[in-house]
Amino acid sequence: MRKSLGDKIIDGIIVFFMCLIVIAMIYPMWNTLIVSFNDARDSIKGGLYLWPRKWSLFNYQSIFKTDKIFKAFLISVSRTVLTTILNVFFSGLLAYVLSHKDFVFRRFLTVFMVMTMYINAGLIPQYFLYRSLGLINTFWVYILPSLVGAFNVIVIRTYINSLPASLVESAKIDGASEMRIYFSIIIPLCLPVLATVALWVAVGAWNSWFDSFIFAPKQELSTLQYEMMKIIASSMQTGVRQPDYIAEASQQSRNMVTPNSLRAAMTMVATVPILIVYPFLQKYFVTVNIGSVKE
Amino acid sequence: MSTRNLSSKNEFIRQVRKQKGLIIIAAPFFIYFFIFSYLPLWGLTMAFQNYKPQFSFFEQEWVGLRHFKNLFTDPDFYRVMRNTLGMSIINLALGFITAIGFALLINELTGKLYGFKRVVQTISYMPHFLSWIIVCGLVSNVLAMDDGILNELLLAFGLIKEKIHFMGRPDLFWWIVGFTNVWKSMGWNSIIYLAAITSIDPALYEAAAIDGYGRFGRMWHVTLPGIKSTIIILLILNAGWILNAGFEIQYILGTNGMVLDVSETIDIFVLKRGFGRTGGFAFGTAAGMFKSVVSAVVLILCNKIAGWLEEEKLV
Amino acid sequence: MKKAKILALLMAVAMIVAVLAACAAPPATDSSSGTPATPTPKQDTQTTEPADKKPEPITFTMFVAGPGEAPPASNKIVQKIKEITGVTIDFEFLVGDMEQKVGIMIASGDYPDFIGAGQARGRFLNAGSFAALDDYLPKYPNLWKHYEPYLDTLRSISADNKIYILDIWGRQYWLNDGQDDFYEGDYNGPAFWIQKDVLAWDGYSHPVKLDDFFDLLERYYKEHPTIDGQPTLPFEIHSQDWRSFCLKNAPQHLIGGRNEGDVVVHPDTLKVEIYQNKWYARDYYKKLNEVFKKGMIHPETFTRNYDQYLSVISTGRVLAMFDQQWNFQDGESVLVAEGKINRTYVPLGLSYDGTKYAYNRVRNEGIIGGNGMGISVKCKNIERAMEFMDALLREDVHRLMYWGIEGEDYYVDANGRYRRTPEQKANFDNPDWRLANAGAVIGDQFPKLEGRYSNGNACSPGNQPEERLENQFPYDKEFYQKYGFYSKSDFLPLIDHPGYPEVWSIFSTMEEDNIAKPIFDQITDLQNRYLPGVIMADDFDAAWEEYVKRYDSIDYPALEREIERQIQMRLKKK
Repeated sequence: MRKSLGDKIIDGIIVFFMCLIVIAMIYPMWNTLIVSFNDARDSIKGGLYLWPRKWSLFNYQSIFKTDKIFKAFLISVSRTVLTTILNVFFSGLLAYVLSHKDFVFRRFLTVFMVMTMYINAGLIPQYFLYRSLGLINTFWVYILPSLVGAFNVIVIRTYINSLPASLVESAKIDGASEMRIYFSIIIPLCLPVLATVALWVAVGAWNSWFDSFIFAPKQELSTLQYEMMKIIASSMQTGVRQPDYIAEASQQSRNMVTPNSLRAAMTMVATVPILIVYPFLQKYFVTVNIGSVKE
Repeated sequence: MSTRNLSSKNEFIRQVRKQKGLIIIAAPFFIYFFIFSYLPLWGLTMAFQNYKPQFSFFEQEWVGLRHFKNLFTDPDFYRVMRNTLGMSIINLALGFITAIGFALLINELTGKLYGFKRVVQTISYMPHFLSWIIVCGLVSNVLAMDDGILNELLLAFGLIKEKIHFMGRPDLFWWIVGFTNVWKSMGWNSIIYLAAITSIDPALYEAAAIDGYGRFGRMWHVTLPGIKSTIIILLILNAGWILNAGFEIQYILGTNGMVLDVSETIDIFVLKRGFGRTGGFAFGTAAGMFKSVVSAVVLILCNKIAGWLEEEKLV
Repeated sequence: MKKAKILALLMAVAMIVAVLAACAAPPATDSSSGTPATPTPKQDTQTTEPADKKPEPITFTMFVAGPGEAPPASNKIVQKIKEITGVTIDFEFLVGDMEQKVGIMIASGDYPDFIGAGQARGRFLNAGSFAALDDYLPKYPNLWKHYEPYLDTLRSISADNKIYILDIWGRQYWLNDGQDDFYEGDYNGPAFWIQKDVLAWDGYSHPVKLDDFFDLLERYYKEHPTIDGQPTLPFEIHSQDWRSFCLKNAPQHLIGGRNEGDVVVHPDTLKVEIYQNKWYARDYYKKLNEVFKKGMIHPETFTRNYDQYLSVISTGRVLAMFDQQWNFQDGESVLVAEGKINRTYVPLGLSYDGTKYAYNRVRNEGIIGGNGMGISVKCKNIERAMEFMDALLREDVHRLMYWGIEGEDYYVDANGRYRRTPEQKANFDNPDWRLANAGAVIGDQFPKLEGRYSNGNACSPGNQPEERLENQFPYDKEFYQKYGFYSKSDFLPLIDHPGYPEVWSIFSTMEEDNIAKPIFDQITDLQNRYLPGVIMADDFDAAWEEYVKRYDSIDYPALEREIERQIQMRLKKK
């Protein structure tokens, strides 16, 4: 389709506007990046905008000084991959069930599920539950509590409902089982929304550290984010009475770390792997050719 | 009456038989939600106890509605409720408008601009990955009087005569929070709308073009209606979180005495009141129950309204 | 004033004599045998060492309710200690919200073997998380010697008068040879901190009155409206979150109080007084209001976040502030690194009437109770745990943790003094090297020796006078000499400990439902919300009146009575 002159002008305006947004949106990450490569003590002075003033790799060195980070990275990857696959699969499945307007338990199950988003019994009963299920300090405490998400189910359900109903109906007439329909029709049709949910789940799983903190503090199960939290927390020792050599050292030594510089370096370390996921998912964000699914 | 009951009962059984496949799939989910979300609800009893973690359930002292009374009679309660609702509504409105608008605009980047679209999208969601402490640090620097870029710009363009003390202005605080939220999450929140747009039948655009609608006409008459159900469902779900106006951002940006009056949300209030005291857990649980009730009421209300307007409903 | 100068001069002389004496002392043949470099009468900190035997390996878990970083198992001192004691410590340091973590731990009873109580001491104590150690202590000679003089203090913080928490700080060993004061660390507590250059510009003056202080700032500011091209900030008041002590804590010191936090304790009657609505608070804020109107306090000072506060300090254009040195030392360290020594700070003990106050420069606090760690009720082997802590108090083991291995991390000079080469110092200054090679990470969590070893050397390198003198910059040496001082600490007199813990620390061991807590929260809230406005008010008196009116609607006398009761309780138990 050829674009008219008016279209091109509009395109120009949109592109200009988008460029402004891109600058505003990339700046925080860019600033974090340069802070991470700037000498920590020099960063205290502030005024770092576009380029490091005093290059230093020390912030990164302090993160990678032990091999704990690499083990934690593996744990993070496994929990993220596993949780994402399972959560997307199960959320989609339940969404499919609830997308049947005539399903007898539709109302009940929807309300039952939606309420889980708004009620919270608190941490202590949760801990007791996980303990009685034998999940404390096991890998499964990362997986089992997030097998399905109410929010995701609703979003997928809404998407399914916006698809032409005739598709599902025709499959039923063919006598296909529910699971078969889910696999062969719903999943391919829902790829854009499933990709979105996958992104949500993956990012959530990747970023979470709180479950390690409360339910799996064991070193072998430590995740990347939890390791990062540990390093930052340990750098925030001001206010605690310190052994004198530290006070002396911070005055004299060439290298020092501050919570801010570590946080910047860690944000880069933790974000780059997950940031790469999106461009891969982006290819599913295209209109699915409905005709092709039917074949 | 009785025959109608009977027939509806028969109808029900018939339906159940017919939907056996669906029910078999649904049952494990019911059990799952029951175990992971409903079983721990016994913990809500804490709201009625002088809960001390060192005691077992049976040794706790029961205090009835004391925590609720403390919550509702606290002289600061209404102030923090006002702040919470104010910031929540601003966040909701700004958040939805910007995310949808952004998704609509970005969707217009087609053809040769497709590559640019992907780049814009990828960049736009980056701020989501930064922690609040980093984002708030940048906001403070941008808005500072001393060396802050915004004040410098406004001065350079002659829009102001003297620097504005943004962070010390109670009347601006809610908006600073609102726009910071937009900055951090607009791109991220737009993803779902971009996904929803894919479900729109391309034929509709062609038809609209034939009807003489221009770019914005198509946006308004095809794209927007096409993602309306998603918008409404997300609005309903988010409205349920009306009392979750945020915690970290207000805590980090609003901890100075000049804006404390307008910055404290209910979450900050609960944390402060509960900190280091017996009843810290219990008070938090009571406040959580209050929030759940508000959520339920708002959800039911929104769902009803959506029904009246004949829009997509949650239930 | 004059007297203080003479005193300080005397001290400096005494110090020089002491160092000379140390030089003149005969070289110690073998330092590890503990031969004292300076012969001292009877004082003996030499600790008992058990007979050699190979101990069974055992791993203890430890939760520390505070920040820290666990040393890797390959840390050379950790391995040495494991050889000696057989013990490996598996640390978990607090990362997120303390209340949640500790609440879960208490509710579930899933305790580790050791608990570093930190700020959660009250929670653990009241929950009965600790094993009572009264019966164990006497069986371990080093521990017994360490705590025997303080048993009542240790007991005073628990409801049933038993020993649960062993203080890890504050037990100092002195030789009483007249040199002890030089082994005290540099003062880093609350004071009006002022740039050295301001004092030097004024002919090395030493203001004592609050009015003189602001007068000096004003004069200096007039002549130096900018510093390094940027506008000068004569006085900063940091007021973010819990760091608002910079805003609020000065009045208690201006009338001679120690840092109690939000109350003043009358030294003779032990009467407690909330002071944020009293005349001495009023006069202070009124002064700030005056100064603000003169443009000497930037309005942004109240909204600067902590990073921005450090940032303006690091530019060297903040002339003075009320603060504690550890709170701004990161900013100051930039000045040091850039060689702007004249822009670094010294403390002033200001007053209304011209008395020179000590603020928090208090001699030898001793053990204050509750500031430490304990053994949990779930500990798998209390005897072994005690044995381990006992071993850490041996001088040889302690030396391993804080000085390192002789020849590798420090050397002993001809006079038996422990010294470090520049490379050895550089190692210690590198946090990553420390994590892999230094033992303080263990020592910091357990009972330890402070002060001096029986051979006269300091218990940690940072307190060894020779090392500290060597680290002084020429500017500083000259600057202090003008005053006849030895270090910045000498700007404040040194006073004796009043015998009860600082009131702010009492708060963390109070029972959780103590009535003082909600009242305390109310006044804190009020102060944080109103005081910036009071300082910036056009009409100070009206703003102050409004603030006091709000204040009086709070039942703060109940808080005063409660704190009095708590102080009495701690004194009575001694």
